[in-house]
Amino acid sequence: MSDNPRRTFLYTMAGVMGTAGACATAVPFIRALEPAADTVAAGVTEFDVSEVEPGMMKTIMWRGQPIFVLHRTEEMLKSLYGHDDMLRDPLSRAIPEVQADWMKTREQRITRAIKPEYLVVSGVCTHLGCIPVFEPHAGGGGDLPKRWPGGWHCACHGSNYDLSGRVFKGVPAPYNLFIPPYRYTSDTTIRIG
Amino acid sequence: MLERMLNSRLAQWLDDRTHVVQYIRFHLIDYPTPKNLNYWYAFGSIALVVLIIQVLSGVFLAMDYKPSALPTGNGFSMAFDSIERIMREVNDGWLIRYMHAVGASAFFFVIYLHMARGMYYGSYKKPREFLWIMGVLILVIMQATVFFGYLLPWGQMSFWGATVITNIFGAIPGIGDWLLQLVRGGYGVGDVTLNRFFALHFLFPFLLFAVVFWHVMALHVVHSNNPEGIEPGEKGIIPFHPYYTVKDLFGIGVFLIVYSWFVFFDPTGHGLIIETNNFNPADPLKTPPDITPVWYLTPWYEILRSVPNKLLGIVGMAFAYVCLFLMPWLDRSPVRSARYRPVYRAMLFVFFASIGVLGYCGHHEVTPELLLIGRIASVVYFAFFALLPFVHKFEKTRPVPEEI
Ligand code: HEM
Ligand code: FES
Repeated sequence: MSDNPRRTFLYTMAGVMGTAGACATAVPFIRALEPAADTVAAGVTEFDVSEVEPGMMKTIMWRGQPIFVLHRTEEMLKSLYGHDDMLRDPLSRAIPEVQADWMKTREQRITRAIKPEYLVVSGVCTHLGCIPVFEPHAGGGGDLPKRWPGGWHCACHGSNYDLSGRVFKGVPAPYNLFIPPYRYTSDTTIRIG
Repeated sequence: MLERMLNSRLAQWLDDRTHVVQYIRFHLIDYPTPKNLNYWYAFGSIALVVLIIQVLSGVFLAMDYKPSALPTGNGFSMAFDSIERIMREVNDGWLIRYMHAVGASAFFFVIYLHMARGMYYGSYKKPREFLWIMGVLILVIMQATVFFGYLLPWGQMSFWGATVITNIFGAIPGIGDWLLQLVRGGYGVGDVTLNRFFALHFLFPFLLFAVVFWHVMALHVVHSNNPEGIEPGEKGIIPFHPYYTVKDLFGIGVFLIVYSWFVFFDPTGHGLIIETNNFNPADPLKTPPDITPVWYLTPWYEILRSVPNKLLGIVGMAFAYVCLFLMPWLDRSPVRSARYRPVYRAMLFVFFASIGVLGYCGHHEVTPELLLIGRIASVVYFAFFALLPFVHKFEKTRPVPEEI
């Protein structure tokens, strides 16, 4: 049968077209699995940071995910210096998600906030997505490392972050906590998204 | 009685049109089996029974379950409330739910023993490689099914388990983020995720049926191995019926007694079958301190957890499955059964122990000690497969018998 070159050609063409058609048909199915238009649209949250007392943290929701808003005291800001050797990425350079376009100076790469006293970071552990627990007080022990400057501890697989959300070495999480896109719309109101 | 039925005019009428009687005779009656199969060989049939229990109880649960994470008046969610309604309001709903939950654990228990049997008697070796591969594929599909199913009650463990496991996809370089959103249908695990997981949890058991069918078809071409691991020869063969129909039915009976005991007297298995924390409704703002999967997934999870690097942890876990798939080609010894392979036999027991230890560690909160033990067990797991290609070089096998 197929020693007829004309027939072989037609079989091949039919096969190629059929395969291309099947692949094209798969596209709408895959697109249907991607986030729907209303899911993408529900992406803006406003928050008044002055609600958070000094030294306290509040968790707010953005796109169904937690965002930590931490009001850092002078002392907490000081605690960010002196443990660079324990951090994986002390100047937040690893990937775009841990940076922001307003991060220009070295100082800003350490404090990781538009206004240093208000840290706004994603509350999702960069390992596998658990929510780390706030452990603000310096001095380790228990699950925390001995030299503990204060920060967050993720109980799922033991990752640690400092009070700027910068990840420690020797834990499973690869990156610092992500910085969500946000800006100040008034003196104390932030708009995330 | 059976002969009378198969020879009846109705059966003959059907057979002339479908060959159904010929199939029954070929696969269930005259099918040749080695005469020395022990009770380890009942677990295949038992697994089939459990699969049927799961499909049956699952369909009835689906009639009252609502796959929605939308909040309800009492502060829980539609899904969580619908499960509570099944437990309290639907007639005998509690029984059907516990049959399904205990059935899931029973399924893995039975399959792990079924696999251990295959490893012990060398059933994965030529000519049963494909049978073995279909088996490992069955295991993977089962684990996917149970993962989808565990999200449905929308409890704390459901939510956080699904969050952690879906994030594993996110670690794949390049396409990770896209894949993650594809699986979840949003930025986090949410209502959309629950809906699609329900659809997939319904679909996957039918995939399972298809692969199991192929698994059994493959078995009926190459036929059963046996505890001696040698070809049975003509004198070693007996027909499947009545010898193994009866033996398997007895095995199924014993299994059902144990299964029923759990369903009626210990349906949560003290937190092993249904984790205690899953009776708390999902809270996307609070991770429970000790999230661990259900016992049958913990060995793989512990391998993931022992590696202090996100991507490598996932590669390690995937590799644990790859090793299983490759087993027929890693082992080069001409002798099948561990009965005649002292070195392989010892290695196998260490391997089984490593899985037990991994499972134990994976089920507990990480402490430095457990982390170390888990790492050692992971190394042992992989060392088993790394050694396999070399064992035949120095192993002095014992003489295998001429016939069974
Ligand atoms: C839904 C799950 C499964 C079902 C219903 C099932 C069913 C069966 C049945 C009925 C048999 C013949 C009876 C017996 O030898 O026990 C069999 C044989 C076998 N199965 Fe499975 N099986 C399942 C999963 C698996 C898995 C996960 C593996 C391993 C990776 C596996 C590996 C084998 C092997 C190697 C044999 C041949 C055993 C021998 O001849 O010695 N099976 N299976
Ligand atoms: S999710 Fe935080 S350490 Fe794994």
